[in-house]
Amino acid sequence: MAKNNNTFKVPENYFNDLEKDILSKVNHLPKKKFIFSPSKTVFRYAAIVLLLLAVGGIVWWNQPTDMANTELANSINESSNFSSKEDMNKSLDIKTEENYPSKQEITISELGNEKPSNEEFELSKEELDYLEYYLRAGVVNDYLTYNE
Amino acid sequence: MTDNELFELLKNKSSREKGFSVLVHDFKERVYWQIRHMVLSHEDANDLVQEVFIKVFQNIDNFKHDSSISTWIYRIALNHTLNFLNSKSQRYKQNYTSLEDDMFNNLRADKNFEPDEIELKLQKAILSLPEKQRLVFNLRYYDEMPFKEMEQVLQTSESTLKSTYHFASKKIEEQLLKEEIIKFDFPN
Repeated sequence: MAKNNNTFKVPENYFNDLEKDILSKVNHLPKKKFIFSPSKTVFRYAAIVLLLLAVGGIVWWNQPTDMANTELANSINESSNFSSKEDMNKSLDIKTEENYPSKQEITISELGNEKPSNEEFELSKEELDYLEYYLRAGVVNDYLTYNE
Repeated sequence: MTDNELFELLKNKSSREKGFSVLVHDFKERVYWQIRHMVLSHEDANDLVQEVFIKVFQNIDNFKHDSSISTWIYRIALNHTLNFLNSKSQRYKQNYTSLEDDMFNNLRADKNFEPDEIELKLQKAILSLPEKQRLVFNLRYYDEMPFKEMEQVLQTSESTLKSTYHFASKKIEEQLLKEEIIKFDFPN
């Protein structure tokens, strides 16, 4: 129905064939099946909610709970209530002169593969008393130096 | 058959096939020419017109009858044609020739186009127009579509369409004058 100077042509009987072609194609169209296809917006909101849940979950997981806080506070309190300095050192594993290995022990361990000598020290009663005194006084080094 | 009667036939599933058959019979030629004047090639127009009617059939349930059936069909046809041309021009972007040059060369070799010299130059001038102007010019010049109807199909105001058509006509006239074709009357 092109009206103005239409020099465009169509093959003979084209429009009759076109109608038949269209109707036959429409009759052979596959039947519509109902498929749930949410829009892009729904997917976007779902993705945002999932992201927020994931971030929230991570934060919540890494945060100490109230119970854990209480336990931690109790343990700090307990560890700070020492009856003596020795208890505290023992509890906190602080090396003092008393519980440090003696110089001799260090020397032996420093020797590496060398086996410690089988020679036994025989200390007199007097020497043992001194040793005990020195150990208690915290002057082991002096004692060892003295013996050397 | 009135627009309302046809709409009723299409809405009822039992009478849909009959209604669609009437619709194809009534609109096939106009839709074909509308597409043909845009794509120029008969083969492309033939494929597109069939795709358009299949699209119409698949979307009958979505049609709310807020415009006439003809407006709805022409709108589908135009959108489908413009999508086709856009995707085709995307492919041409990597080539040295433009889509319009190629369309013109194919038109000259088309056995379904029997132009005289003036018509051939007119087609060349139309192809040099921007897409929107070409569309408006074709709808007005070839299909004689009233601006009122064009307003609904293209969803553009009547005054804009009139000025678009005016600019398109002027450009074509200038081009034809350059080609030494002095007289060419366009409908207003």
